[in-house]
Amino acid sequence: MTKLNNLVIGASSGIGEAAVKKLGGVAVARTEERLKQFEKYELFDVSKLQEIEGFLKRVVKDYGKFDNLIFCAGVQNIKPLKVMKVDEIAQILNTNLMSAMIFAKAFSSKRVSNANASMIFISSIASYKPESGILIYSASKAALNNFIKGAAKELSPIRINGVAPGFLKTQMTEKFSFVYTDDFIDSLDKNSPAGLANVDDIVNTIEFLINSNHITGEIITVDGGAVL
Amino acid sequence: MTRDEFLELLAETIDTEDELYEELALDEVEEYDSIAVLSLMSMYDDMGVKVSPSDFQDLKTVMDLIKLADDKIE
Repeated sequence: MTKLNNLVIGASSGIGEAAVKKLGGVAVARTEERLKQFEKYELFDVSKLQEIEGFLKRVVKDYGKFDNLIFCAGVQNIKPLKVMKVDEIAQILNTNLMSAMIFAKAFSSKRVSNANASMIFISSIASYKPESGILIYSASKAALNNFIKGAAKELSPIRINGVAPGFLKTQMTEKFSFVYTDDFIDSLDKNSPAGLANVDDIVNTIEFLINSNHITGEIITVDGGAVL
Repeated sequence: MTRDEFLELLAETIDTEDELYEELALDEVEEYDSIAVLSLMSMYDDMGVKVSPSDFQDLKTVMDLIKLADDKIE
């Protein structure tokens, strides 16, 4: 089987890092430290929205046209809306939503991606079930779901899908261990009919979507049934 | 803008890798569809050329697209 040329955004930790390890490709993140483990990597801050198109033009010159965009970049901030600063709200929307949409716009160019290309965006079950303290994160992912469906129509024949994980142990959630305590995680595990999913389960679903030529505009929930 | 620059902008706007030339029939450009027309309207707008959807109804060739922006092309 021919090796696919994947572009993995947000590859320095969590799902993105695991995706590059399993599926290969060019790893992209803001900081170099965790990227050095990969053969092919590029430094880029996805919140620099105006630079995304130029960045993609540059990486295509170095690595050739891409087969898959795997967009895993995301930020979360657990704070009640009343105390969130405008800049904090903008940062979440810029990284989780604006950046994803502009990457999709730039990646859809025939100068950047191959004819049978696909894009996969990491959403969240918070997109269906917003919880207190993560309203903006939830809203950013809900908007991303809607964008995935619309883009699957407009940008066809490129296939565009999403994966919506439930709680995962990643660097992003470790920052909030005061909320995601062991008791919280145990309780979530007990209330998830198929048990808590892990990062590898998400990467397996990404791989499934890459290989599913007739699935587009779908968001697959991988949460062990927690949202049911 | 020169004619060559316009043709390059045209190709980029409708996202085709085909070479565009004056006599080329728009029917033969796979990417020339309703979404492409919306993209072209935005392109003409950026160039300061006022167009409406009806301007695209009877266009047959790339030359017709050039004529729409005639004032802006050297």
